[in-house]
Amino acid sequence: MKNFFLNGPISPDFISNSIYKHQIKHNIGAHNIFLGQVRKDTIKSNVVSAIEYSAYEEMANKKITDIRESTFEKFDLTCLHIYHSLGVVEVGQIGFFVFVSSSRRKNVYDATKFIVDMIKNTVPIFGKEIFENNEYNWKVNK
Amino acid sequence: MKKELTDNIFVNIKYFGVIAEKTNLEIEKTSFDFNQLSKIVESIKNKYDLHQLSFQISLNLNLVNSEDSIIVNDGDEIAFLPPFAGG
Repeated sequence: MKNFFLNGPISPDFISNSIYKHQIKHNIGAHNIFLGQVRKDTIKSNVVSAIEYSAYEEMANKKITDIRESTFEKFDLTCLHIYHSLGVVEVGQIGFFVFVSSSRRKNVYDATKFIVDMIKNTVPIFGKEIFENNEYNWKVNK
Repeated sequence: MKKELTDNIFVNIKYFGVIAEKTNLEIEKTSFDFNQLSKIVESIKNKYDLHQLSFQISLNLNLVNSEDSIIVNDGDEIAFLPPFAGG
């Protein structure tokens, strides 16, 4: 089973290296990238400083594999990469990276939205919002 | 000679997020002398007082409706999944 999780935040270097690796794929004409960044939310006067992600990894990897396959069936794509962080990701850091590539641009927007929505709604990933005062709240996707 | 009870099933139960915090453990192997998923879920809810928490149930990595009449087999894996927060 493919593992879609990385420990800790996803670095800008990792993302740019992913772009670089696609320069040898000459049938690609359009990339679309979604990056999920930890927002400095204020919840009942508590300020978020980080999110600690955990997951039911076995099920999540299986779910993301299924989402990946159904995305390829629905949209005419060349490449598709999905990464999600586990552990602590601080405010301003990236915890979710979706990289969609196709020969032409038409498909990449819809495919990205489909993947991001599916992952947010159907994959067992859990997030603990850690506040600046060290209290915390379990995050729920809206 | 006393006949051994053969119909007990052993189930792996996993807890995540706020549920694991409440149960104070992430995984346990528990035996049951019944095999209806709804009864197993109910007994775990009572054991750890999970009534106030919202969660979904998965059986062998697939989300299921625990109200449905689903039979659990020996060695199956059930997970208590709090609301998802990925992305």
